[in-house]
Amino acid sequence: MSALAAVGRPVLVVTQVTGAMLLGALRAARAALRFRVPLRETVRQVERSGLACLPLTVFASISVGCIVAVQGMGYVRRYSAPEVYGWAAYFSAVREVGPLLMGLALSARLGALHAAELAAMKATDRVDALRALGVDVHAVLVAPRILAMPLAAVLLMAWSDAVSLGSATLFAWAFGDVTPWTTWGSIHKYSLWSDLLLGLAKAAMYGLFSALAATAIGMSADAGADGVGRAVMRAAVVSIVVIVVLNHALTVGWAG
Amino acid sequence: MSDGAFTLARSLLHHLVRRDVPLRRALAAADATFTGSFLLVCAAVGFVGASLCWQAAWQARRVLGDQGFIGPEYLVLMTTEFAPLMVGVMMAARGGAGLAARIATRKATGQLDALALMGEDPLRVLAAPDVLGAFLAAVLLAPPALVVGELAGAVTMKLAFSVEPATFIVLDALRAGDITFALIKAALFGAAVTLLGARAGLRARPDASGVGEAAMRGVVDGSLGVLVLDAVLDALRFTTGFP
Amino acid sequence: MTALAAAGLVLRAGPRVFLDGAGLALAAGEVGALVGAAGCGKSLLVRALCGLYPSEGEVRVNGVSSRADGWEAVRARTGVLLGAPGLLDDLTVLDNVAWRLRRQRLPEDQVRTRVGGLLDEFGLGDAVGKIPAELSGGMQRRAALARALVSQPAVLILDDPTAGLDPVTTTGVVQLILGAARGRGAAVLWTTHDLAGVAARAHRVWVMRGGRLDALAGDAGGWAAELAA
Repeated sequence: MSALAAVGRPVLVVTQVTGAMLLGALRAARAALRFRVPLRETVRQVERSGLACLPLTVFASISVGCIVAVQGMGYVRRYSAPEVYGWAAYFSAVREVGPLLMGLALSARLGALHAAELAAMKATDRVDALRALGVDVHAVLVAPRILAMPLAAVLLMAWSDAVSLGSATLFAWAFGDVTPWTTWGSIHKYSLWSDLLLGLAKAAMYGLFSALAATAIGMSADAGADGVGRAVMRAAVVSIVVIVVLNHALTVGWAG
Repeated sequence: MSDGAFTLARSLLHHLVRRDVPLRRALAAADATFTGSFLLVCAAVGFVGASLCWQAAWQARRVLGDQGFIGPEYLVLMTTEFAPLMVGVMMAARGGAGLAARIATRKATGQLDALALMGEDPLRVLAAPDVLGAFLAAVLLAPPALVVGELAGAVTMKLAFSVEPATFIVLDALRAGDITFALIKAALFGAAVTLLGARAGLRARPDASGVGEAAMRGVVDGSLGVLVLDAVLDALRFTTGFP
Repeated sequence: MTALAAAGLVLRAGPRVFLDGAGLALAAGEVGALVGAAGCGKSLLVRALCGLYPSEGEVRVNGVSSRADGWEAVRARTGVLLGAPGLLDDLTVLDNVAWRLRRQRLPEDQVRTRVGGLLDEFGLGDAVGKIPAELSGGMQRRAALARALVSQPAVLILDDPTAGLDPVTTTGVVQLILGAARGRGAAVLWTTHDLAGVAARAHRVWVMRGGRLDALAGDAGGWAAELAA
């Protein structure tokens, strides 16, 4: 591969995917505003996304708990200030590390799921069959997934907050002599609701963007088995990249 | 056909010990994984590192009025946690899903049957080189990931908090064991995601939607596997003190 | 001499029983045809005969038994062409066809002469260095046939090799297969829908129905009458 192609290919992918995502967002918004998105299907998507992600959420949240515990105990050790541990862990878990890791896990999981289903439907001509019946494919197949994913992400993020704070508390108790009472007192005293809400908003945003990327890539998959496989892989990779970049912008941009 | 991940790992080890894994294909797989994931891993670690560093510094300034000290801890956390984790997650999304899709496609097009008819173990021919290659590629990806993550942190600290890189980068904080641990982690993550990807591919239904599901399984099992393995390795290091 | 003998085959898929204790036998050089309605389990039977689908019973090829000697030994004496050509997509035609010979550690110059001759016979002389994606569907099928024949099997088993082909091409493929098998003294078992073609060329015909394999007796006219009944 020549150097030009090495630069050109990612640029092409980025522009293609961005364009398809924008288009998908516009269509979903239009379908939603005209009340043409089937509610029942949207609810079903929220439900199955939530269930599909439960085990992954638990493991990701325990990892989050572990990371913020290591980080928070640094303050405790250095300044022997156990009363800040709870706040430090809370801030990182609900607002920064938590949304990031959960966003990565969920986007990989659900991005791959939606891309796999849509690409397979496309490869087996079921999408075209629906079109031939006069069905608005976008409103029926794509928009519910795009609308459902932020919802599912918020619910899972709330559940993840509970698990990660719980495990961070236990880690600090077991390895750092910070009792749960100290931790929860600290959370109660210093923590802001706005941090929690910001974390949930981040999760919703990550969910929305990875759903846009995954559905766009799924609907533009090439025919054939290898086209489907490539679409899934690309959806997972693009979702992760989108979230990593978005996370950076939100963290540094939303200062204060 | 062997089914569970452990059975798969065992027969893979068997092939490795008997040294009948096509080594040239393993090296080609390592090369492809490395070049394919290098930019991706570096970009991801860079962005994640920068935002984590920003967040830690902001927090430290608010609590303690001083963020000069986070350099050493960031370095250790980046080395032992974030860099290997990002290498693992990226390889799950790219390598794991890719291998699952490739093997499932081969199954859907009758190539696995053909191999079995010629008396071959599809695992040895199709999966073993990739697993070995991913093991090597992950070891090679971890050091650049570390460097990029650390530099991203340094740049963030300089631009946002005017902390000089010389103050931020404290290489003395890093013990040799931390780097060994990071390399072990990355290598095991790489091997685990490809193994799980191969398993997903071998178990796929032989049609187009089966290929999609297999690729999805590859991503899911891979990222879950990385998270679980990460926790297990952390716990092992905590209890045994090695490395 | 009996080239292929299968006995006591029990073939199930979920609750459905496709075969309940059936058998078949072919002598060296004979051509056997396996017919039956779509979905009657013909492809499953082909897979069972080479051990790709679990079944009860025993398959013997040239006296080598799937039970006593294992499937590996049976497969080494059998050439199989399943529905899909199944050429390994990252290898050239030469490497695909040569796989078994190289696995037997045959010297490379011998491998090349044998594979080269075989590919010329199948009209693939120009495609030696191409990968499967560069070949047409018919060429892929011929390459797969060459791969099945490369280790001089005693039995050639084919799963509907003329599926989806037009009548002219069908005649060509049938002649190619039968000519290649006759030249090597191999027994041929194939599943097909093409009754006219089968009637003209097969020594034996089995109908798969109701859990049994019914051998049809007599000549071409007799088969047609019996099937119609």
